[in-house]
Amino acid sequence: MSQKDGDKSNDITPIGLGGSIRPKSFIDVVSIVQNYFLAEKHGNDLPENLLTLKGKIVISEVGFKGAFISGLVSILLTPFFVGVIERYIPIFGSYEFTLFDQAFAVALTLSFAMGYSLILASIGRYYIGKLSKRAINWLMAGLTVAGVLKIIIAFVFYNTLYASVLDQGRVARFLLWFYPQVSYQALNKIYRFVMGVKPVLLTSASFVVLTTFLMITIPWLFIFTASRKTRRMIERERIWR
Amino acid sequence: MTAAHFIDYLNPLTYMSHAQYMSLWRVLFQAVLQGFWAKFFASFALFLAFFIGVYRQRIVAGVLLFFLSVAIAYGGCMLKFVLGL
Repeated sequence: MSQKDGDKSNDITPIGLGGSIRPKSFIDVVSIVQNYFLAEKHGNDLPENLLTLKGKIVISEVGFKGAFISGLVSILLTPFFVGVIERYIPIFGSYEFTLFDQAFAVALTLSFAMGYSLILASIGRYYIGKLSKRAINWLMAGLTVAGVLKIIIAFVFYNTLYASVLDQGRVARFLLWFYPQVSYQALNKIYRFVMGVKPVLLTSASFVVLTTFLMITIPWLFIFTASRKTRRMIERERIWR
Repeated sequence: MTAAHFIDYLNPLTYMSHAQYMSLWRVLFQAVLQGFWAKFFASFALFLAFFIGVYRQRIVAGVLLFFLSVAIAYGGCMLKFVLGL
């Protein structure tokens, strides 16, 4: 199909974020950074004001939102993983844990945050020019702030659950509401399970710190590696020309 | 075929007992959510989640596959817990 006049899909003119276009998703941010990259690739300097304060905030918002949601998913999943490792929670319907089961539980818990970090890291190949770098830095700043917030939320959430919500008397009183609709044996089973699983929450809080550290450092490593690769490629192109 | 006949045809209890019907679902869930096949499907879903979500950058599909993997991994024990009550 031929391109129509005025089709903006192949337009490489850098977009001013202060204007009407507001990136809502990561893909929008990638296309903005791509535009900066294409303009800056051959050493052209773009005016610094092209990325306005509003633009920077909007880009960091995109990084923040995704990382925050992935952080919340990690907070919910981490106790399950730690429960599997400490043999409180069964995985694949069995308490007979193999090495595969435990490795899978780790992979499952890390994968949401890691997946998001790797998606962000894919932008690293454009980390070359002044404006491209600045846009990516703001995106990563959003991710870092979300990571720190995730640690705070995880610590408050897990410790509140451990020290207050899952207090022995409180849990017993709550379960007794369901008696006699639910049998005493069943309620007792739930009570013993909850009390057994409780210490997992404290381990989970420390585990979240570790995963957040990985979530922040992995994209940076990928970005620096990919940007060096792109720089070498551009140098090679220059030599051949 | 009248509408009433058609509705009867859709109801599985017309051609099998309640116990047979429940055991069919139980066997199906046990086959999919426990043991080798559960591990296989969960690993495959997680691999696809990374491939489609990260490599192909279809984020929504990747997230859905990730949750499918979680559902397969922990669904078996949830079901066991509920049915075991």
